[in-house]
Amino acid sequence: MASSSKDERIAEFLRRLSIAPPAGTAEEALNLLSDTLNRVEDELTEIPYDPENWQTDGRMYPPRIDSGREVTGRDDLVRYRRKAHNTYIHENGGIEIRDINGFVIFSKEGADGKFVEFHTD
Amino acid sequence: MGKSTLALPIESLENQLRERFPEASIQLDRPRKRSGVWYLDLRWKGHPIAIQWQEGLGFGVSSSVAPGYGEGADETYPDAEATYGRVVSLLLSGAYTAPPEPVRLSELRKERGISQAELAELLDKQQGEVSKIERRKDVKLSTLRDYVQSIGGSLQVLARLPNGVVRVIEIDDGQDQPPR
Repeated sequence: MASSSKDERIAEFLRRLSIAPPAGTAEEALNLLSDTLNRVEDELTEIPYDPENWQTDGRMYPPRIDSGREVTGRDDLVRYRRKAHNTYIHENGGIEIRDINGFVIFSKEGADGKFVEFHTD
Repeated sequence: MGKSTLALPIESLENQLRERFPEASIQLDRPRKRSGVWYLDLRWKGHPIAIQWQEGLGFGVSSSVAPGYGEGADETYPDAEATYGRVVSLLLSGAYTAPPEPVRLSELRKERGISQAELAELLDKQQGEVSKIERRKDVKLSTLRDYVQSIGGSLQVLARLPNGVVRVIEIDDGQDQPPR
């Protein structure tokens, strides 16, 4: 099986995540994101799953629980950091992925229909 | 009893880098739990570097701009001293880290905006031959060198050692050397 390029895998990951039924809780959202990404990588690359690898092996991995960060003033939101992205998971199951410069590259509503919102006031 | 005030290795590194590069933007990104993955984001003269650290795993350094989501560090180092040396070197030279993961030849060609037909012309080959090179699992170094030079690059073969050191391998591929 020929592996797909990383661009193709990211596009497929975000496509599948966007059409999946929304999650109802933060835990469901994290599981949805993790399962979707792991399936895409299993299907489209030959790189074995090795999440403990500290150095990149070319495979994309979902957020690690121990990479969670508090969001100031927001008990309803957790930020998961990787080297080039922040993934925000809301308690309603909403998901937002931003690059390290804050540019939103993906947003998905929770089961209540609401997207992750950031108050600026 | 009060909390320990001993600085973590990544906090010590942060202080060292602030002293060395006082005009740099440096932000420590703390995890919820001290045992989690810490990040130190540094930008100096437009050059961004992400440093990660976790107890027991050591440091990771990344400054490449390759696309992706959720990858590990491009390079790893066992301690703050080695990491500091590498970060200073990257900043002063303006160099970028290179992830050790392989990239396919066809991806490199597309990144350069060159079609197979255009590359075939540059290499004085048929388009089908270029296609074969891109799909071949075992390619001659000289073929690789010609391919990479034709898309505007130069070929280097690297050895990445277990201690994180990367060395360029000198290979005599039979190509004529320019006169000294």
